[in-house]
Amino acid sequence: MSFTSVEYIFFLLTAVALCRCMPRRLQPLWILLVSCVFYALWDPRALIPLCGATFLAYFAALRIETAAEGRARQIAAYGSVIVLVAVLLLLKDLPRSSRPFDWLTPLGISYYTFKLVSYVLDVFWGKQRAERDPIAFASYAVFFPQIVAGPIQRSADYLPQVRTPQPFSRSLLARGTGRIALGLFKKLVIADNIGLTLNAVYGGVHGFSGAPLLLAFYLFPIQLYADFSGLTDIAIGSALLLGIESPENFNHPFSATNISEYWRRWHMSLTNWTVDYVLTPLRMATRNWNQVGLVFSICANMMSVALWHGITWSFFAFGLVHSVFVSLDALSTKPRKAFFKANPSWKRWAGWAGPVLTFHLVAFGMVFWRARTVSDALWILTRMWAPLGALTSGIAEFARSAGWRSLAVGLAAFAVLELAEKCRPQAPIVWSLQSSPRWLRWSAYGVSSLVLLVGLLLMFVHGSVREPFLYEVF
Amino acid sequence: MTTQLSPEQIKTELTGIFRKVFDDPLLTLRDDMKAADVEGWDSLSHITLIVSIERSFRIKVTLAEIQRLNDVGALIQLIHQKVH
Repeated sequence: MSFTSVEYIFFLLTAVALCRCMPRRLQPLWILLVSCVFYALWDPRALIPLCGATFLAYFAALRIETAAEGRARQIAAYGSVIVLVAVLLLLKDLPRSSRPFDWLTPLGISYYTFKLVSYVLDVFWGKQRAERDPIAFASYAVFFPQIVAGPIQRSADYLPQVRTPQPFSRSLLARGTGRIALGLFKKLVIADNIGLTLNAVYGGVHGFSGAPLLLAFYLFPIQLYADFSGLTDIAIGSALLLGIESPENFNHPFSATNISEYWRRWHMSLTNWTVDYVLTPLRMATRNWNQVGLVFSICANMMSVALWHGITWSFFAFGLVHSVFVSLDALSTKPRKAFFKANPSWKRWAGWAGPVLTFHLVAFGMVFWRARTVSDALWILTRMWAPLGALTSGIAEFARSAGWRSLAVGLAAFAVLELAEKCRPQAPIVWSLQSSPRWLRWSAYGVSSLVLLVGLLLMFVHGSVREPFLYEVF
Repeated sequence: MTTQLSPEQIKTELTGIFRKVFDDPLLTLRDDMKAADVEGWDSLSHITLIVSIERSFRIKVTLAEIQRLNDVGALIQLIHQKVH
């Protein structure tokens, strides 16, 4: 059941309505039940590894907390983490023909594995207590808004919330539905329209040169951002309607002034996870190797992020490119700071040039992410150059053949969204609405309902030609 | 480094380390200060900071101890426990 399907909207509305009708003590059980139903609708067999992983993490954490001596605690912690990661690699990255069962990769296996690994290690490190309530804990692993593609919420943040979900209110309803509507807009209007054009290029890159490849280079980061942040918005909005606040995944990534800052703004819940559970342990272990340890830890971290997407040469190249970029950024931090201190007038230029340069580095890396092979990626990067005159006519010609309307709609919608983000006042609009006169408030509710209704109708109409989310497969 | 340091003495010593690591000679530490309050205090500079603290106070900090640190106050408390 896709997040952009009408079935999902009805499933969510039913889940939320019944959740809000029942006593608060039963709500965690209800969240667990509807999450299991959501998951089983995808493939009931996939519940087996999910339940196994949940049981393992639950009992391992209890063992860690009750074990008196260090060795038993270590065996429970490291043993369970090794098993969780091994099952993830087995079911996600092993070719289907080599798997013990002919299964598709279970939906969201990366996301629930990351949640469970972080929980076990947090208990082991003494950052949080082991959860006694099996229902609350199981609902953490299988929570349906977050299982498709995150955000990866930490147990210390989720568990207190599921025990006492936020009471239902107009403000919560407005925030939740607004966030879902924003996600649908990003996905259906921006990402899918831009994607229509880009699919034509990435489907057979060797048939193109010049302008179409250059368009693909610049537009794919925008498509991926709209697609993935749209998916995250729907997840966050759905969780909000059930009374759970989720962590944010994006914070204006294309305004980052350097590549390290970009990674702190892009897929934040994953990068925070790898910082805590990959980068920091590696950096601590290699802290006396000076710069060699720094570069080694960064490369291992970036390669783990890249190869998590899939063990292919394209993702390997993506990881390698970002390992180099982030290492160079880390190694040059001090000299850059010293330079700007000595030449403060350059800082203004850096503030302007930084995001432009960073966007180009990101777009360069994403060519490897999106291309089917390294050879396709290299074709794009070497054949996209053309004289300015040829470029202009090439873009016009390509836009005509690939359907300029969808591209124009997607780009215009992206521009409107960015403009709205820039103009948005600090206070969320729903709070201002609540203190507005009744006629204005109800007019806003009326217009929002109409927009949602039109959106739902569009989803009915376009249901059969829906593009899957790019991050659904991980 | 003496093993009879008070939390205030540790804070003074720590301020010097922070100023050097983050290249900010005017930096003043507060107990409730977190990474977000100091420019440049990210995951990588955090380990550089820990290494400087280990060398300066002649202590060893474990990964689990680092993971539990929430703010500067907790860091001072950790150093205080380690040097005594």
